[in-house]
Amino acid sequence: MRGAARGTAFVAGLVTGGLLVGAALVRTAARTRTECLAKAAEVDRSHRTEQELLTKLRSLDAAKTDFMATVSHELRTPLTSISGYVELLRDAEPDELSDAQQRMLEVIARNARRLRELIEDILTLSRIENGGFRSQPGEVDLAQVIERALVEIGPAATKASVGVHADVRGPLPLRGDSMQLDRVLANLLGNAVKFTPAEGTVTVRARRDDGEAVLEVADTGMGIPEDEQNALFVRFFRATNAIRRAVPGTGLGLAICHKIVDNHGGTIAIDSIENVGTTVTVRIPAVW
Amino acid sequence: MTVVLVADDDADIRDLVAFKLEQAGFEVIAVEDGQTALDQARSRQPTLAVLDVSMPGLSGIDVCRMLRSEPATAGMLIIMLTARVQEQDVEGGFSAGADDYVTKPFSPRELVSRIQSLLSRARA
Repeated sequence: MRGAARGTAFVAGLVTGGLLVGAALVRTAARTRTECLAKAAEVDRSHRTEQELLTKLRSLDAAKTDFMATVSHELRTPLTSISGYVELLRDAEPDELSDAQQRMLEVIARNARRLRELIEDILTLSRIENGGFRSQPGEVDLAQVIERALVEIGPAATKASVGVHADVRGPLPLRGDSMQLDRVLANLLGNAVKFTPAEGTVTVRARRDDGEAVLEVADTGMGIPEDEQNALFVRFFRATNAIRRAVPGTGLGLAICHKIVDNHGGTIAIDSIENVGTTVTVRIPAVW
Repeated sequence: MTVVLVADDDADIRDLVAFKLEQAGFEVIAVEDGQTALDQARSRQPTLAVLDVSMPGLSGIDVCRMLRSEPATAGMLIIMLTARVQEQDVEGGFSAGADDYVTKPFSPRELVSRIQSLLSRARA
C-alpha cells in the first residue's frame, strides 16, 4: 500500500511538471500548444488511473482482512470440538486408558493448542495490518504496560527458573493503543523467557531518551544465528536453533510486534549472539 | 436438579457441552436453533441457558434479548458462547443482557466452573 501511495505522489509530480513544461513551450512556439495539452491530458488520465488502482487496492486489502477474520472465526468451531473432546478423554479415569494412549492424547492436545495460537496470531495480524487501531489511540503510560507484563510473565519465569530483573524509569507517556502494546510486551517477555535456559536471566529496562520511550528486553538465551537475524520479522519465520530444540511458537510473534510498533511510529531492533543472548530494543515517540 | 438449556447448531459442540454438564450433575435440555431454545426456555423455565451466538434464524443474542424482555424468563441466567472475540461482539452480548461470555475454543471444564460460579452468585 505504501508503494502505491509513493506512486501516486510521483504521478502527481509528473502532472505538475508536465503543466510547467507545457506553459514554457506555449510561450516559445504556439504550434506545440496542442501537443502540450494532449500530453497534459494523458498524464492526467494516468494519474486518474493510478487513483482508481489505489482505491481498488484498498478495497481488496479490506476484503482480505475481512476474509482472514472470518476464516479465523470459522476455524474456532471445529477446534472447540477437537480440544473439548480431548479434554473429556484426558479427564477419564486413569485405568480407562493405557499409557501409550495418554501420550497420544497429549500430542493431540498440544497440537490443538498450537493451532489455537496460530489462529489467534493470524487474527491479530489481520486486525492490526491496516495500520489502524481498533480503538481510538489514547495516552498510554508504557511504564504501566511494562509493569503489567512483568506481573503476567511471573509464573512462567518461575516455572522455567529464569530470573527477571527490571529497571523501569517511568512514567513513559505516549500516544497509542494499550491493548496492542500489552501484546508487544507479552510477546517480547514471553520470547525472552521461552528461549532462556534455567538459571538464565531476563532484564527489562525502560527510560526516556531524546523524545522517545526506549524499552530493552535482554536475555541470556540461545540467541539467533547471525545469518537469520534479517528474517526475524518475516511472518512464520522460525530460527533453525529454535526448531532444532523444538521450542514451540507460531513464527508470528515478532511480525506482530513489528507491525504494532510501526503503527505507533516507532522502531524495533534486535541484537543477538548465538548461545550468548538477545536484546530487543523498541523505540516509540513519546508525548510529554 | 438444576436444569440447563444448551443451544448450539453444531451437533458435536452441543453433545460435548451436554455430556460435560450431565457429568457435573445438571439436567440438560439440548436444542439446535434459536427458536427451539426460546420455546424450551418459555415452557421449561431452566435456571440457566448456554446460548451459541451464531445460530441460523434467531441468533443467541436475539434469544437472550427476548428472554430478558419477558417477565417469566427475565431473571434466567444466560451464558453466551461465541467464536467471535472482537470487543463489539462481546459488548453486543452483554448489552443484550448476558451474564457471562465464553469464547470458542473453550475448555468444557472451564465452562462448568463458570456455570457453577454464576449459580452460586445468583443464590447468594
